[in-house]
Amino acid sequence: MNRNKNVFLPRLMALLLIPALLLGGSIAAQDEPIVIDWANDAAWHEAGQDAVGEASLGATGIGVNTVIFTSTDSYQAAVRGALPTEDAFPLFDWWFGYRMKDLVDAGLLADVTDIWQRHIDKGEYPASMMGSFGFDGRAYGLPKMINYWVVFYNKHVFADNGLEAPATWDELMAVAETLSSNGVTPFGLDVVGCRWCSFIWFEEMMVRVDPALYQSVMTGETAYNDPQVVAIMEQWRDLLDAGYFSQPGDFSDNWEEPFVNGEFGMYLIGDWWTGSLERAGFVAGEDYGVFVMPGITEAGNRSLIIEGRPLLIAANSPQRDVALEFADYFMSVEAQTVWAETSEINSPNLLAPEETRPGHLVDLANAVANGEYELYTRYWEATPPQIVEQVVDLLGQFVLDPAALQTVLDGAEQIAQDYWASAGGE
Amino acid sequence: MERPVKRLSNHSECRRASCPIQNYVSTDPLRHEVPVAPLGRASVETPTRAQALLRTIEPYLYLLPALLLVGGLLLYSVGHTLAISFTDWDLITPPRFVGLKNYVDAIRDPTFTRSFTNTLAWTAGSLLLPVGGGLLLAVVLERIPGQRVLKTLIYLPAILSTTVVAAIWSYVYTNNGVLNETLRWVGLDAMARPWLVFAPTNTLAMIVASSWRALGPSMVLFLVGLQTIPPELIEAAKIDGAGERILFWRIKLPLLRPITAIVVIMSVIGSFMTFDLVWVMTQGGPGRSSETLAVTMYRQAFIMWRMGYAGAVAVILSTIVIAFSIFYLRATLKRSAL
Repeated sequence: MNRNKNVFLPRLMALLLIPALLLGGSIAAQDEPIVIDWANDAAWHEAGQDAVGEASLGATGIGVNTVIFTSTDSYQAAVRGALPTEDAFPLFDWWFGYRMKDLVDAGLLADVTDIWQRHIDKGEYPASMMGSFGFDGRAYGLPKMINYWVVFYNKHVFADNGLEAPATWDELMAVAETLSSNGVTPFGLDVVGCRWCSFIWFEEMMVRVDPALYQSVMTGETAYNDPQVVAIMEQWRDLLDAGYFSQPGDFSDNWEEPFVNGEFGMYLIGDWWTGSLERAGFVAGEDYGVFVMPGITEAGNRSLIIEGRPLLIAANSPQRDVALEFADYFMSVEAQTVWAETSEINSPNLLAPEETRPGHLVDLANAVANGEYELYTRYWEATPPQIVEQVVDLLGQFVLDPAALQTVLDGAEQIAQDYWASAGGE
Repeated sequence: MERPVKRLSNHSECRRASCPIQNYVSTDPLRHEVPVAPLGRASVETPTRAQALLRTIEPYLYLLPALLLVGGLLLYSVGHTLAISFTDWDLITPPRFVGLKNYVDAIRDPTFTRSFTNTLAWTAGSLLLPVGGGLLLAVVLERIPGQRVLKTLIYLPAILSTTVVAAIWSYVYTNNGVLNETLRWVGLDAMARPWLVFAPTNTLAMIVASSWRALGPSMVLFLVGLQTIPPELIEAAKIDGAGERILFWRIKLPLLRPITAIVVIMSVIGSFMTFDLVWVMTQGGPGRSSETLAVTMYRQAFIMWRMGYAGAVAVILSTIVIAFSIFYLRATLKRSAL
């Protein structure tokens, strides 16, 4: 005890000095080229972001430091928590539609309408695209990724069963019946390992029958338990009852393996799945193909579900203006070419070379550019997240117990009514 | 009660009653009597006033970092959580005071009720499996040869992180997983099922997974407890003709009470805090059927951005745990009167 007294004060001082020295070190290191943080929860974007940052450093003198979060939840919490403060990430990825609306309403995002306008004037982007990235004619996000939701099918499974990609709903049902009677599950769907996956077939069935009805349910004009919605859901229920879907819990979080192994023939998902299949050694065109799900009605034939991932700029970041300068460069043909080549992501820039798009998706991209499809926002972003987050759990219950259809839709309508009532009052 | 003592004195003829107490160290783990330094050395220096002051505040200076940590991290967080539980904070807009709305909403919410029931199932399960099972194993293992190897094997899962445990058991429980394949192999096809899909099977399955890991530590604590029971008492009871059953119920179990209190309290607190295993295995689903209170709290905070509601759930959860701890520890420790 007595001995300790003599060393206590020097030790305390040493402890206090260490952080001071570390702080001094970081202050001294600030005199370098401007590098700003770009946060993201998608680790597979890292190589692409780094490459664009490298190119940008040469072209504009602004580099980026990619900050990857491995969990979406902690990513959202970190970004939301910091957005009202000066610690906000200057550049960050988000979700479009209603998922960015509360950030816009709270004034936390920089307005990027001018940047869009400059590039639209150069003919690089279709003018209609800007609308998906903002509200009331103003844009708050840039298109980092645009994806369409298509059916992936295993070509080996189809060949073994003498099948081809269907062009009509009746052909699709014939394919499902053949696979089913030959012991192959037609469609993969997992709501146990993937909580949100329950909305995939809900939105798809809706837009394949009546896309206008889908839109009006999303905006709260039509009820979830409206007889028309019930009738569409009954068609999905019949498919579930026919045993056309994989059993709950059959495959948890690894979707590639059972698809590659031919445990099910078709999988409805965003075209971003291409990258995962490539990493699993499955080659587009040889091992698998994609098709847009045929419509059940004529109106449903022209529908396509779109998912966009916007790049946002924090209004409160001290580096906001630098980030805007970088964003302008990111939209350019030069940056988009680098981005598409290094990230496995198609560029929506119309002037970017066509080689930067994966072969099996070129036709689809061209068809969209030619106006052959009406684009409908994915359910996840098409309606307020306060509704989505509860309804996906109910839809999951429906997949597990198709007999609960009416209860599930009544519950969904209650959630939607509660939300729209409180939102209307604000 | 007779307390065994270890002799440190050189006076071999010194009898217990006459020996100075500082020459003995108690082997009772709950009653450490630290030998006091021989008189004389400290009293030689007469400290100045400054030295005396320093000596008075010195212990508090050593406590200061810990106090700052507890004060800053714990008390501040508790106060902050309590404060936000009365607001509608969503992380991005300034919080508004809403009174008891979050508490009323929680109690009326059927999902909250289900989470509460699931949490009670976790508590019951963790009292039955890791605590009861750990006690049973300790009593059995104490007396059989090869116990060291068995103890190590049973303790082994405890060194794994919860995420690893969850990943392992997810493979066990999938439709074509180890469990179902084994059941089919031995001909029990009817028992094979999707274990993590339907309630309440999914919660029960996860309790088993969690117990697999928690069994070892509670067994070790009970073994330590068994070793502190004075062998004379066991011997005396045996001489009086007590069989194994009487030995266990009348001698071992009552003397294990302090250890039991610790194991029970740790299990109950742990079960109320159950989050990570559920989050990795089912995320509380499907359809929120396997949520625990901690999962509900996390979901409301970081998926729904209802920080106030989540705060209310946290306050309710903490109140239950604190109330239980006080009540249980008072009741148990008073009875054991050690």
